[in-house]
Amino acid sequence: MKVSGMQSILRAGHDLVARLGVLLGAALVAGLIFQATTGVFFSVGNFASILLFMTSVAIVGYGQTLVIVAGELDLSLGATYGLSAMATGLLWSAWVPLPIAIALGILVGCLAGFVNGLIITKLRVNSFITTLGTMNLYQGITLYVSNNVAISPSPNQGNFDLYEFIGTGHVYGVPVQIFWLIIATAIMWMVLHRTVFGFRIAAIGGNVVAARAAHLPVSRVKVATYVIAGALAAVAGIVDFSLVSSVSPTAGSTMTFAVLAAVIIGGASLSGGRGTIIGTLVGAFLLQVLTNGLGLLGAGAYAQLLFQGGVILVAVAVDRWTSRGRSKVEVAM
Amino acid sequence: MLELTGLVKRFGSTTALSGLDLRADTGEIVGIAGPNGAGKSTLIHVLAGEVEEDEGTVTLDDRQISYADRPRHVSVVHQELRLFPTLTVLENLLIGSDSNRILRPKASPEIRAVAEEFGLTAVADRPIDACSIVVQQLTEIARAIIHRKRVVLLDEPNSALTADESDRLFQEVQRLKEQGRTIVLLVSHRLADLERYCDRVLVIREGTVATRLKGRAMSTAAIAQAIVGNVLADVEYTIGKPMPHGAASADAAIPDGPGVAPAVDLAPLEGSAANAIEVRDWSDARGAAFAKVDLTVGPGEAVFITGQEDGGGRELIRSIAGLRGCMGTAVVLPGTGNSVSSYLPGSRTSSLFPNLSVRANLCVRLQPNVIAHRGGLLRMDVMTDTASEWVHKLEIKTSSLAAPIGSLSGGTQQKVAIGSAFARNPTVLILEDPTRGVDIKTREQIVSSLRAFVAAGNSILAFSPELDEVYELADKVRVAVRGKLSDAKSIDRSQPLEALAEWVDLMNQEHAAVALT
Repeated sequence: MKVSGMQSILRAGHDLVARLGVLLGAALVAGLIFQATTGVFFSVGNFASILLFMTSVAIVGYGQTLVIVAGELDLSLGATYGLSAMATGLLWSAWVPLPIAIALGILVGCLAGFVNGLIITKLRVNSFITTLGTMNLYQGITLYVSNNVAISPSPNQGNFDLYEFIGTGHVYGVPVQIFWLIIATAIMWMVLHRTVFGFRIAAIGGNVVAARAAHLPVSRVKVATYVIAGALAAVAGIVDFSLVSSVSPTAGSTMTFAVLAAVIIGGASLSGGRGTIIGTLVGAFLLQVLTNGLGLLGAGAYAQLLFQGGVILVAVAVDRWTSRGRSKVEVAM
Repeated sequence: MLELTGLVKRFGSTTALSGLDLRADTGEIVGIAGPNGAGKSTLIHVLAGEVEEDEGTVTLDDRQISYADRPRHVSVVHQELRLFPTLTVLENLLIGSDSNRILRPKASPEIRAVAEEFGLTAVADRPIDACSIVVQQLTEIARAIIHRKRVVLLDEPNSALTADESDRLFQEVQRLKEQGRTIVLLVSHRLADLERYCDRVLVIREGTVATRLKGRAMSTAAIAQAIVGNVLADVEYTIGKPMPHGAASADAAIPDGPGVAPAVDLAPLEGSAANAIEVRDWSDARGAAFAKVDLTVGPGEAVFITGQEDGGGRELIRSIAGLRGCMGTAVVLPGTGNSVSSYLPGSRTSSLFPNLSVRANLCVRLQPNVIAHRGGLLRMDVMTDTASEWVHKLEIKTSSLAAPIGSLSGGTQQKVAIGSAFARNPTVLILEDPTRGVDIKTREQIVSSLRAFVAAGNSILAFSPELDEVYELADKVRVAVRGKLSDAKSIDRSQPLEALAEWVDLMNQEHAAVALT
């Protein structure tokens, strides 16, 4: 029986394309509605604004995607985002050179992820409970080390230009966020969909019993996903630290929910084994379109939260409704 | 009376049921047989109300039953556990009854009686996921009986049961029949069961009923022939009898016969006299499943462990596969040194990945240096080539390599599982129930590829409670009773299966007696 590789890849990608099409279509419809009601949605400045704020959600979302595809969950990523940014800010204001402060901030993120991974694999505590606990732990540490005071860097700290560039720079007229986003997307796509590591993540998330029977290193892979997620959260935190020129002690508190929303809208399954980087990217995009539009309409923070919640419910409902009665064709690999 | 008319079900471009008609009367046990992918599973899903048909009707007692209503009238007992793992055995029996009461239902005397019949009273308060497969299956069946559905569908219900338990199961099924209120449909690959317990057998091929057998025409040979069509017409193949063309010697590979899959070509091991597996004083570290066992598997040898589920055989081979803690002296352990070994669990839910494609399932055990570049980047071309190779060698029927594994029929999935074990080019295969739940043709293909593997100088260590599987595949057999292994007996295929069964029985009795002293 002849099987064509290219043909089969195209066929498998078909359902992912369908999902992305629906999401992008929804974003377009929302955009049109916002444009009609506010008149200022479709503007260069507004698009830039959407890009600026969706970047960090997408980057953290990639980490969450890895963890969810492996069959686990990480509720502490928002807290890690804040803790790492705060660490970088504090170190830098203590005269540690910025590049080193950044590296150490990312290391903090890795450590936070490592702790999660260790508790979940060695102590065998459920990931929901573990990361709920570490979320509070990391938030607490952030509040403690900052004395509950926001950090606003002053221009006489070294490397201020570099600092400004990370989150507010422009390259060829485009916000630098687009480059962080493209790089992160490309790298994480390769990792999840084109490496042995990503292959193992999908297998472990799909059937951990079979994964053990096949002698896959389940614990090691899971810990690695948490470390990567922590690192990505740190990177996002640092970029945003530059974007808003400060880091507050409660930074990242709303990030966890937004990231989960993006990942689920993007098609990841909470039972593990299914999820894509591009899906998360488009999910983050749609979410930001809605948040942005609501902001233009003058809706307060509460209304935005309401809408985000509603979007998740609609996304899951639509997903269940369209896959009823047909065998799931979306495969992880 | 149950009547199915013109059932049609399509999945994308595949037609699973193409106008199926079926009639079954109350008090009848109707057997349903057929090759892989013929539509048996789809038929069960449609009847159970899990999948909605595209065309056709389902009528019960002259009343049409819509798709949504079917679960109320039809009870299905599946191959693999579909119950509630965290509830106890008794709770699993009770759940779903008395739905209009507020308080938790108590077990009525009738329910307790059924539980007693199935030998479940001793484990009634144990969480079902802590029970053996045997108990899980018996609970499934007892549950269907307790909830008194008009139609009871048994989908390979005894695949993990011993002969005794299987007998007991069918005793209950026959009692159902005698009560005269239920229609029983039995889907099975076991021709002996079909012949013995069914009033009629319907053979499904390509989505419709191809042959109806009754009375004297319902022999295992006739059913086998009907299943495979004309392909095996001049080969007298019945499970339990020696294979044709004189392949009685353990060293000869199964030669090609009409319709038998070509022997899989596997590179022979460079002359090695060393044993493939040799362990002494092997004991279970965690529990007391087995103690102080000596086991040796030579090159070019297939050693099967058989016995009851509580004999410790499964635990033993899992410990050699490296999945269960053990203590003892390992003279030669598979997977160490130069030997590459693959372990395949007994049930497909433990060996396949439902979220992955056929290609990914075939490649999932391959080492990174085979399927990836140095940095970890996957080599999709190598994966596609490897997958194509095994799809071809094992004749795996799939629409494409990227098809989700769930789109394949059960027997085909089993071939993918075996393919994934073979893909590593192992020298030792460690297996459990290698041909469980597959139809005749697939079973032959699997048997022939395993025999070719052994003939090429590789080794197999397996556990199977099924004597006909052992009879066909093993060179030597040992019986695991209460954590000890009997001496080995060489399989002589010129003797009938019954001789082996007698010997196993004898071993069981002898060793049980020893264990008691």
